[in-house]
Amino acid sequence: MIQSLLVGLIPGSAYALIATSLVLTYRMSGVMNFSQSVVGVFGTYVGLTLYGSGYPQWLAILVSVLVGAALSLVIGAIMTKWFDEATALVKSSVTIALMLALLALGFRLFGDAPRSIPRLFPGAAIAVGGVTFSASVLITTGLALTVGVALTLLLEFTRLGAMLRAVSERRITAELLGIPATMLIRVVWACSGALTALATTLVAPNRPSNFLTLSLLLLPAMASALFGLFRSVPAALAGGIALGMIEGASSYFDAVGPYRQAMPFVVILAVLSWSQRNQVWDASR
Amino acid sequence: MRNLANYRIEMIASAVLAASIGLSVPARSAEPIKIGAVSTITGPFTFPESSAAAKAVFDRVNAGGGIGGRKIEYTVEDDKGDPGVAAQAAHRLVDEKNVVVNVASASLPECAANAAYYKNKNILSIQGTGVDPVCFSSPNISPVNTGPYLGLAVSLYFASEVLHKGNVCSFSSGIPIQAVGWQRAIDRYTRVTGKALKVDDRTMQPTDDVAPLVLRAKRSGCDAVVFTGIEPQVVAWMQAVKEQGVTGITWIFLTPAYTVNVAKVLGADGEGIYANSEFEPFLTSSEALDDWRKLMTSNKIPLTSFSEGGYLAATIIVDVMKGMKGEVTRENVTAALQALDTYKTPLIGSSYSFGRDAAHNPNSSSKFVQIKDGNWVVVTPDFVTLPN
Repeated sequence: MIQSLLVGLIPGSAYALIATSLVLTYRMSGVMNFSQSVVGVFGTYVGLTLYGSGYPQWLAILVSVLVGAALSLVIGAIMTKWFDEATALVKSSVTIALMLALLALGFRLFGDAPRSIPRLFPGAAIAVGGVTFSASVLITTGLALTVGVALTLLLEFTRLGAMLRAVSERRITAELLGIPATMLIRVVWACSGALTALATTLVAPNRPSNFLTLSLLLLPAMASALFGLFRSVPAALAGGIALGMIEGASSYFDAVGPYRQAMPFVVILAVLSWSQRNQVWDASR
Repeated sequence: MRNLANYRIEMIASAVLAASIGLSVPARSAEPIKIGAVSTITGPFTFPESSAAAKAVFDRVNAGGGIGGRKIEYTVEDDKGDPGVAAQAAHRLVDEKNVVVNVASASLPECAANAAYYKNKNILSIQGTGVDPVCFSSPNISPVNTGPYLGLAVSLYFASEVLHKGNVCSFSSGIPIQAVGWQRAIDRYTRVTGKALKVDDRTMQPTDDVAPLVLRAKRSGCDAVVFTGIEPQVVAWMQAVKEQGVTGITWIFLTPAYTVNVAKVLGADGEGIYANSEFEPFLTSSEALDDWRKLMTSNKIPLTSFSEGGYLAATIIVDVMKGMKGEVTRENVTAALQALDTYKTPLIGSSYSFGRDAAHNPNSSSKFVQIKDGNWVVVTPDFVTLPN
């Protein structure tokens, strides 16, 4: 049972990281970024192509992170320059259009034949009391936790964090106070792209991989971000890991196994119903 | 003026005469033989090699003059994995192009979408790679491959009767369209061997993580596991096996695992795994495969069991057409195929047939290959045939 839970930590950490990126871009630009995961997959595939041509793995990972950051930066620039004043609906539609464009471009560039991706950290594992902790689990979970904790500390306790929060709450006021809002927003977009690319690279060996199926990581990631209503980084982090573990555990119970796919949404409903039980939802939500 | 008018009339009259003579020369013998195929060339799961291999065979026949002086015109439609597109493609081929037969189609939704339509139009289809269950239960479709369902049954049979494993487990995909095929396969295994499976898991979705299933196999005490995933899922599976430290289980995969890529990517982690080969194993130096190998290499088509199937399907139809007495039309081709009871070829273990039955799955044999020292070797020199 524990083994099943542990195995869910890898996809869970990936969901957590992508969800964190989603929360960041939402808070900064008010955009629900549907193109987040495609950007990550794009970066991963560029890195894979490099790796397949014989370059060392660390270089491939670095390149994939940089490509993810660059793509996300471009999208962020588009959103802030042209769609700043638009409604949430328009902003989301634009990101959906960008997602579709990137998907089509990705198919054209990389083909759609599923690839066999070699493990990132082959072999290494620690066995503690009958439970095997593989290197992948330790590294991806460690990374997700580190990123989540670091981000939360950054936002709460540093001057930079204060500036970021100012920009996300009252953009014009922050600019009038002399905070370089546009630059900060772009940096955040780039970082979220880098984060997503890293997350996708880490989780890719565990799933049958082609461009489309990896892009579908967006759905559980958005579900994780919903845990904190797209506003809280710690909640998105916890949500992602919880969802991953639920997925892993639900195949342990044979009765639940066939409904594995639906589990995230059952959990979301329960969590939201509970945490929002005193709230009144109206159109402004 | 009158002379000019007469001259004009004569000119027109002779022009019309010349034209009608030209047009009445029978163009039939120069008209190409139209053959079609509906394959999944783009989309999440693709099978492009089968129709590519068939095209290579037809191009070679055309280079040699065609069949009875008529060239083959081969049209491959891409259904993108979508049943609606597959249906439209079939209509285009049958109604607009008037193809006489479909050869070497390889697609996930094609049979289910088009089997009834083919029956209506009295057109037959020699599938290069049959995938969904309807390919194996339609009167108008007869695939050359064993197919994943019989493949599962033969592999389970191999595990329990040839390898003599006690607890045999089956992990097949949860894609709804395939459910009835898996059920039939497992029923047949149970009927033939009289044994029950330890685990019969049918929950895996195409985008799933395989590690939880590997853990389930370990937990349930399986001695042998047959997994029906496609190539990247097989790689992910064995990597999960290595990571979770699962030992002592014999892993058997279906024919998509039998590729050079799998052996290369897995390396030492793939040592000892089995795969089933629905045709004469293509990585061997068997004489029967020489022509196929040469043709594929010169056309830059990957050497896989799918291209073997396409090659075989095309070879069968060419032989049938060459042996036909009358003209090559849809009715005559259909009749010739319906009269085809046995077509022996060293490429498959059972003889191919079409005939008039309500269902066709003529290839019910496989050879089994295993990775030893990083390379695939044949472990069953004779085809393993599933008894009735």
